[in-house]
Amino acid sequence: MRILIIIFLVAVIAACNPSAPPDAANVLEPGPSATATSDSAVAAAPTGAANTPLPAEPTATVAVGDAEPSATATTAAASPTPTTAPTEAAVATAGRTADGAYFLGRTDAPVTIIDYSDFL
Amino acid sequence: MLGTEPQVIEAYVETGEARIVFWPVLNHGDPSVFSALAAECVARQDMDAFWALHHDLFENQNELWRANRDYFVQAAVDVGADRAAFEQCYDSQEALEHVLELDLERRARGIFGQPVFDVNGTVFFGAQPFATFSQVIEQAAP
Repeated sequence: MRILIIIFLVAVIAACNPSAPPDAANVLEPGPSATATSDSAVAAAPTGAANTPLPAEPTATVAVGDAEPSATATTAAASPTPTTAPTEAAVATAGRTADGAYFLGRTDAPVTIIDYSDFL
Repeated sequence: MLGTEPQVIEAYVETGEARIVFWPVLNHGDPSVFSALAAECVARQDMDAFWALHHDLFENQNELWRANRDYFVQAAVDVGADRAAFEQCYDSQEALEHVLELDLERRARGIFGQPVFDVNGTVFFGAQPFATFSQVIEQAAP
């Protein structure tokens, strides 16, 4: 019986003996590779991060783009509002003065601006 | 003029408060004459096209120094003028004489420099900011 106990203890001690450097090596090896992996992950992260922001940027751009067209649309929507413009433009007529010069505007406009200009 | 003209037209001409008259000045020899002649010939077809060409010529002012007949024909066609009718007018003595008569008349009025603006009798010289036009027009308005 003592022999069995001794054998058991020896087996336990053997099992706890740090004579298992290969295991440690195995543990260490994955370490660096894990580090490498994490480097890769880090390296990939920026790429991923770069990629991530890229979609994010376009998204932001799209948002801005969306906003601009909205603003343009607003402006465009605002332009039609002064539908008075076409009406006013229709009021302004083009023709010739009695002297043979060229005018734009209502003939009964209270103010006449004569522009003496050379095309050059 | 061109610079402040769009603003003046929008603020005063299109609202019926003012009428703008363009009087061609021929101070730079043939380029001035042919530019004014082209405008005259387009005006004979369509006055709205005249104002469109008037705008285009001022906008491309630097090109007018070396512009030839073909340039003006194309410019006229671009604003909707009939090519054949324009060419016939451009080559006619009558249209040329009209442009020269307008130039003689402005000299007779004592206008020698350019641009000169006459707003209901108030005359001022040189390109002016819109604010100046606005002030003079407001004062001239009854």
